[in-house]
Amino acid sequence: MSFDPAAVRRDFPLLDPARHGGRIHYLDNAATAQVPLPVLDAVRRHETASRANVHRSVHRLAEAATRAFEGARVTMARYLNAARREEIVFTSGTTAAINLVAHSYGARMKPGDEVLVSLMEHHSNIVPWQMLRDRQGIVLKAIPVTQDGRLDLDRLDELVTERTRLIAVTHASNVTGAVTDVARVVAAARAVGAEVLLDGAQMAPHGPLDVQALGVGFYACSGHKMFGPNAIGVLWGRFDLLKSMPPFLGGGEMISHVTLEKTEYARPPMRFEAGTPPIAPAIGMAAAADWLSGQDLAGAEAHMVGLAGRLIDGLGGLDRVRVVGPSGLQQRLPVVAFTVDGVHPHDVSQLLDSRGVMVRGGHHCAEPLAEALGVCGTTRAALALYNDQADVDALLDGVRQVTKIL
Amino acid sequence: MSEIYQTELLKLAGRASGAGRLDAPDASATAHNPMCGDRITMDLRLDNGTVTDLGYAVRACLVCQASASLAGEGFRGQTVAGIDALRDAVDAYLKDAGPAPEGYAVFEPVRQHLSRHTCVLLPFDAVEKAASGED
Repeated sequence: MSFDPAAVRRDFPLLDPARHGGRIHYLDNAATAQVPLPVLDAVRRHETASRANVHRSVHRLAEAATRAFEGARVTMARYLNAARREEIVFTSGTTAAINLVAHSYGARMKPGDEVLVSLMEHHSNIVPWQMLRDRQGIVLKAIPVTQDGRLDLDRLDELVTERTRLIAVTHASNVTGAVTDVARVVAAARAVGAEVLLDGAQMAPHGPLDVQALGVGFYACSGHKMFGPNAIGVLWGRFDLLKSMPPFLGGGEMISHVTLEKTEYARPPMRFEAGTPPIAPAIGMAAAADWLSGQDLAGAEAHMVGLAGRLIDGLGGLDRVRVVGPSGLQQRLPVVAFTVDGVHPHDVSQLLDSRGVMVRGGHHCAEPLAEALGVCGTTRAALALYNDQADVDALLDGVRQVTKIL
Repeated sequence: MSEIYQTELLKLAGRASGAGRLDAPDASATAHNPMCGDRITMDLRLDNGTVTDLGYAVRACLVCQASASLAGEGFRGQTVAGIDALRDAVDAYLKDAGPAPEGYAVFEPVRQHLSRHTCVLLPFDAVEKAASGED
């Protein structure tokens, strides 16, 4: 049986046309994806049946909450194929996860040590390293991008040196959709004993991952982009790395023993989970991972590749419209950014919204990439498995109208 | 009353086998339960990785006291590696992922209380900490 996006859409109350006076075309999934009923149910079940703090009290509600929270950790470990559940640190999102690594792993770096990012990074994988540079005198370098919006990995040889301690790059671009050749990055890092951090915010919504096979040291992702709640994310770190790292934030739960003079810290992951964690969001994120794992992901992938092809071809046929990023469908996510010559992306987005088509316009929190590609911004359509041909055609019709009006 | 507090567990805790500090131990460490502040200080006398004698001071709940008492009855003559392996087996038992190691079936009712698993494991953590010279 072929993949049926209409059946998937039925799981998403927000996409019900009755709520909006007609069909909406939600194509802003790279910013935030919508939430299916099983996730909403899991969160509601927790909040109505077992809401309590975790790892503190011994009463039955606390017990149920702790079990559900730790169960969520096990689920996320399975989703990422972590070697052990203690490698899963719950954070507020990808940004917090990368900041954690920049602070704690970065604390071991010395002046002159090098961190290599790329021009294609989201600001959340640039700014924390600039802050580390300013704190500790590390050297921050960047892999350039090719004109079709991929990492220029041919430059790795000259950029990676004996002082490189970490290569922190995106697993897939939130603007061009280009998927990184992780094996090449890992090989370059290993040659000098460096670790690799992958920003998986865009890749994690496309199905279970295998962090062990990827061979990286850290992986960060967000719940709200993978059909889960917001304010939740995961940092996966190889246990030997997490164990060697000092804490990031201080407070309750991350301690083993406290006196006024000093504190003995808990082991990972709790060493990195100061304060009451985002309990219901974590449970929701795990429910989203389970929901995603239960989908026909091969069918969904083929479906979305077909839609992305239709979108790229359609945009390519429009006057004054240029697709920014890879022209092919290989090694890319169904994220398509484009420009309309002479029209600001926000004006494109506003006009599309008036036709029920929701996209994002702007620099997508990746200003250095926009600069490198010579654009002030782009309009971006990011497909999810509930999108269909009607969504793509509505976008194409809308852009056609934009080129006529403006 | 919770079924945790069965006669056998109360007797075990009451026996406090091995309780009391050692003079001039080869290794010593304190493990803390971050949830409640309970702690156990474990003293070890070691001979080539084997525990030849142990003593402890515990300020903890009945579950932890019972586990400490079991340590007092069973750890002498075991290697540190063997005690670490026993910890893993007890942890697995508590998580419904393995059979009860000898003597530890007394903690069967604790299995459903995730927050109390640390109470059982604290004496093991103190041994591991002491043997690794962490304290």
